Amino acid sequence: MSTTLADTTVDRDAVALVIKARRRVTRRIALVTIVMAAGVVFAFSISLAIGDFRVPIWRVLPAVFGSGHPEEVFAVQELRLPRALLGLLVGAAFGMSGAVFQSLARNPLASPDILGISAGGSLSAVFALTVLGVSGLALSLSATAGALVTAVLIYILAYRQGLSSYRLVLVGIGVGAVATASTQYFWTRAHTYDAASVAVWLSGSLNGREWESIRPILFMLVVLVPVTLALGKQLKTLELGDDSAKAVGIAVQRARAMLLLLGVALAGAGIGAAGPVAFVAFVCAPIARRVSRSPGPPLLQAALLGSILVLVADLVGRVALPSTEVPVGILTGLIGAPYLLWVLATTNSSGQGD
Amino acid sequence: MSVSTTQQRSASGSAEATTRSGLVEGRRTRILGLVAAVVVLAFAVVLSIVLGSKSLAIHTVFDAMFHFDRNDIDHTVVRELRVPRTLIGLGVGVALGLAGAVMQGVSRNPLADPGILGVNAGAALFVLVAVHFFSVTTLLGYVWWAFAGAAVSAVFVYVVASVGREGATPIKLALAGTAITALLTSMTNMVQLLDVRTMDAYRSWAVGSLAGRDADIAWDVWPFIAVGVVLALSSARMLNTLALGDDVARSLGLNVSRARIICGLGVVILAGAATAAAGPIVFIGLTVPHIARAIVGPDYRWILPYSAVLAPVLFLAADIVGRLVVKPAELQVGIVTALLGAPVFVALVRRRSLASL
Amino acid sequence: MRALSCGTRRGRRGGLAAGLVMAGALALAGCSSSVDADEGDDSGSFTFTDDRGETVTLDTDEPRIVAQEDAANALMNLGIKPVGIFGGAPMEQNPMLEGLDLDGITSVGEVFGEVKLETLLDLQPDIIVSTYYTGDGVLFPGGVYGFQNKQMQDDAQEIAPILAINATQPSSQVIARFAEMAKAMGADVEGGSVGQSKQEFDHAVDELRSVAKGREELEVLAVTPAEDQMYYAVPDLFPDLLDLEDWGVNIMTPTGDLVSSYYEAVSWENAAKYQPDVVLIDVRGYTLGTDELEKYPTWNAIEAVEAGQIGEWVRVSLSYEDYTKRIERLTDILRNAKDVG
Repeated sequence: MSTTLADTTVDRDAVALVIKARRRVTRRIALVTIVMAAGVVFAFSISLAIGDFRVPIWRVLPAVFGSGHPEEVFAVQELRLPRALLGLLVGAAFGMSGAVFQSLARNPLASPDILGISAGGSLSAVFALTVLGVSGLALSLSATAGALVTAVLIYILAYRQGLSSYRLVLVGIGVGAVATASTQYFWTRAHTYDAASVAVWLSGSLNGREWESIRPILFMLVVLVPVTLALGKQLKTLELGDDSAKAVGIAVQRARAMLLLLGVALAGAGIGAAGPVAFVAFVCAPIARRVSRSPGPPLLQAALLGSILVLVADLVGRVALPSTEVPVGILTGLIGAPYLLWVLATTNSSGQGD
Repeated sequence: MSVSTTQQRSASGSAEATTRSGLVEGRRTRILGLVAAVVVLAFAVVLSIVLGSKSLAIHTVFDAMFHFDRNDIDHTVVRELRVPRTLIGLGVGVALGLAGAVMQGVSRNPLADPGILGVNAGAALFVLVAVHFFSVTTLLGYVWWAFAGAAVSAVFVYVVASVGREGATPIKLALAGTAITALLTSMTNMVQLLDVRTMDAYRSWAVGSLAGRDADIAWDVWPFIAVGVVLALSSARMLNTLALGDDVARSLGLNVSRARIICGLGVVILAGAATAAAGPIVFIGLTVPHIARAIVGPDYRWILPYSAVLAPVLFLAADIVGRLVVKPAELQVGIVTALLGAPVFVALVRRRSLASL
Repeated sequence: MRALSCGTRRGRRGGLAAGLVMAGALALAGCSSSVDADEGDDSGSFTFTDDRGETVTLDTDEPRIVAQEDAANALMNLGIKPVGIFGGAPMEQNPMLEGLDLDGITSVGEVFGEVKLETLLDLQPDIIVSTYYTGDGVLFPGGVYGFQNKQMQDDAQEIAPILAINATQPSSQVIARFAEMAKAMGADVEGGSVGQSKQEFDHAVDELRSVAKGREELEVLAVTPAEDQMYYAVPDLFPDLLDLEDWGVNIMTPTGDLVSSYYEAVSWENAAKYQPDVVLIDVRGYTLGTDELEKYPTWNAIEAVEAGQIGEWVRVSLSYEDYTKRIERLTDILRNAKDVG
């Protein structure tokens, strides 16, 4: 498929048509992105405004800045703000990570959960929690470290004169299964109350996360997001196929490795902050691509969509049942799975999706 | 995702001489190989009765089997703990090996595992529901729930995958299985958080173990395994035909949907029974068919029996290892199969012949 | 949307800066509706120092309490009713709260470790009461039982000060400490039904002491049987076993390798490793009961089991009544036990 423009006669009308079409696409993408960003702002705001402790809506914003009834300030500043911020960051991390993975693997099934990376992060976190007894920042960092180490392991095991995405997925599933079984093992050895904490953490939860946990993900995203967006163009070219990419001058294996590392780091940041929140990485990229009809990987849109998803899911989890909180990961699982079923039902036999 | 085969098949669909057929060729050699495997299995069974977390002298074990003394506690350990455990391990091993082989054949996915059908996740959810809402506390009580859960989720997966023109293609099966598994896992997480005590009772089951299972469970589960074995073994020809691809299979006269349903039924019964008896076990169903394939090639009429014999060897071996490494306590077999199965799995994936898929 | 509850504001709470109290008072003044219907008795005061050394002083002697399930159990049995409870199961199904009148009590958390902080804030408690464990039993340094991490505990502390009783000490002392707390809250722990229960308890303990002294040779083993393994308890870490040891009962200490600081674990093949005279089974409800255990062949091989000398351990309730009953049952067993081990 490597025809070069030099071979064809340039038709001025054809070029004008293409430029117009491109502009339309770009405008649509920009529009969708703006709407999504607005959605994030909205989701963030209602996360701050709604909760068991009723704060009248006109007092929410002042409370954010510390003025108003001390209880309201406490509720908004101490209880809701860190949580909403975390939800935003975690959603963005997972969303963008999913977009990177699915684009690299050219397969909608490729997602950090399925690739075993989440399982690896979970294992090191559960180990740290039950055997080493750490919590807080140390726990976050161990989860992230675990995800990274697992990814490297999968990469090394799957690399054989190059990296086939198929083999990557398969090795990922295998490593993931081992990690899950080992996690189960440590879980059974834990004391009862430790085990309950583990169960909540493994579901992916934003409850009671400390400000300490926000800092690492914030720093990581500040670095990772711009870098990933900058490499977005390379990713788009890679989607066309290794040969086309080589023809345009991209060092394919190196670009792949770099992007993979970024995708893993993003997922690792998310896992460290909130545990393995199911399905966010999996769901957001295809939806973002569909909605924005973007020709390339919808990195920014998937991130925004991820933020919206996590914020809304967490809100529902907080208020749905009267006397208990449902961890956000359970809700995203309950949402994500039917979505996948819908994909199945509306897809053709090759199951490629987009 | 179809298994790439390089052998010639005659138009009638029955494979005789094949150009790439594994280590062992020729009918007689294969039969001999199977007999050898059965001997190894018998040896594994004996080891499983002789070895354990309580060290017993061989003559004690011998006496326990043939000169049973009711009041000797060591005899009790052998007769009433190790023998049922071995029988169940045997059954579970056979079931998993066959279920894995049939699953790989039906889905034309060399890395399929019965868990793909959501069997493990369904069983787990139903067991959890039994513990929390119906206060079931015994392993025997779990068995029927686990079985029901496995069956329900597998049916659900199949139905979902069948939506659409093409029916339940392998890819759609895998996707549906993943989705349902994730959904069930979310629901499981939710139920288990409802009550710390529920979670405590559930978590030891969830790791996969043969400990504490007695003869009652064996009696309950073996009939299903027997039925499943018959179904699976009789589907060997269908699997060979399906391996050629749906269109070719149809042109050879095979009713593809019906074949899938029959094979799927076998998988569900076997995998369901195995999970009901021992909890979720990974890797046996996945790796053993490959070992079988490496020995006898791609003919399912040989892969199935070899899988049925080799899988319990591995499974019992894993259980024995678990009983020996942390004496006087035990390591659950589910952990051992995961740890031991992983390197095998990775080695499999890295094999050149697989890399071409 | 309900306006902030300026009408039910209580401007008193320890732990928040004085400025908050001032702001609260100002807000009270600035609100049109006011008067809290259940404003407590202003004339008394409450002060208590918990086992961690934290002292809380309040201007009322009927403080609004939110309690963790264990503490709730203790306090309610002593006559104090909290306004909120948090624990590891829904209130109606929580075994620690069985038989107690939960009318009007709000649930502040039903998953262990997860406290609904906004609900807590809404309840406007004066103190939060819980227990804490030492050694392996603590989730994080300074951790109080029922909070999953430090952030959650700190946030809760900002809402109301926390009092925690050491639960790693003998059960009778735990109850005694809660009784002191209840007394400071205005409950009558020396007279009435509580006083009566205490007397019966003391009497039962005396009985047990004398029987135990007379049957010193009897060895007692505390176990937690699980589906796939048998666990032998290390007596020095369990509150009831500490009590029993204090009262002269001869509790065996497991001699094998410990799987955690609390237990030695063996497979069911080795379940008859020890042959005590009396076996105490963990009755926490999700472990196996005697009916199910009968099916385990090596369980029956324990002589004490065959002789029917089986008792219970693990306190499920922190009340004098329940404890008395259990002590009396154990006394009976010890009195009639044959030496089989």
